[in-house]
Amino acid sequence: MHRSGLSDEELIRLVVVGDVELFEVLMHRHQDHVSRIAGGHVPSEMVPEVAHEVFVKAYTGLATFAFEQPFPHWLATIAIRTCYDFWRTHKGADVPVSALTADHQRWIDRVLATQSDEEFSEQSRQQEATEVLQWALAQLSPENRMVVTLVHLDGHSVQEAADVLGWSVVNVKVRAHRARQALRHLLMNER
Amino acid sequence: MTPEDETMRKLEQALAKAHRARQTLPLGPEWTQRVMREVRRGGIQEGPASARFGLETFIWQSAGLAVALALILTVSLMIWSPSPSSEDIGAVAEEFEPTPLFHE
Repeated sequence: MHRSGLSDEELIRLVVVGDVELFEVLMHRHQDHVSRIAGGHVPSEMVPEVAHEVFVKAYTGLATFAFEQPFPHWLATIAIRTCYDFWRTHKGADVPVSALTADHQRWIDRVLATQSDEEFSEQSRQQEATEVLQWALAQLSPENRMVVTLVHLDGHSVQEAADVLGWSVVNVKVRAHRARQALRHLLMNER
Repeated sequence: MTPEDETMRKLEQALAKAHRARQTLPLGPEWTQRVMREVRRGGIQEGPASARFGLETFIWQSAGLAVALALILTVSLMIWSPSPSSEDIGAVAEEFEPTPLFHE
């Protein structure tokens, strides 16, 4: 069998015993998955750097992979925690987010005035939508930002968010509620 | 639901939809090679995670040994330690002269 046809588990076992080059097969297989996760949490220009860190961490910790869950789940946990570390380290200072402009205010007004689903979808695809979201998330603490993204934007359950972040369910639940209130307050004040 | 809640719900939905529609660029072969260069430099055996894994294994193995030793020590102390026999207690009782607490 060609080595790229091996399962994730088989590849991991071979990498751990010293076949380093096979880690590249795992990377090829899962880099889109990691890139998508990172892209949902950090600015697009930072995705390669964060994904790089995720795979280096995954390689370094590969011996601790317990084969109790699928490899992509394990990788996703590393990716999300790396994104959280990114925001704790940068604290928004190195990632400037421009203030809302008149264009953004107009976009908010247009969204609120939409009547049809089609029109609503069209507005959601506008560049202003992404910019308003980035602006609003930038106002939150790294902890609240992670919870809002995982629970309210990605649609994960509180339990899933707690598992990947390594926090208690109560902590995530309280943060999810408070962060949503804070976000609503921010958006309401911009109207 | 108040009109204000309805407004916020609509705005949140639009932002969530924008979030889900985001595009990510492929990382490319150069990126893969950069990561692989770093991976080749730092071996798994020398990595912090595997070192931690080794330490954890050592601690757990030592814990079992420590419990066994503690058990043996406790049992041997119970068997071999000198305990006051009933004769000794009798001798002490004979030597003891009770005195009244208050002078009459």
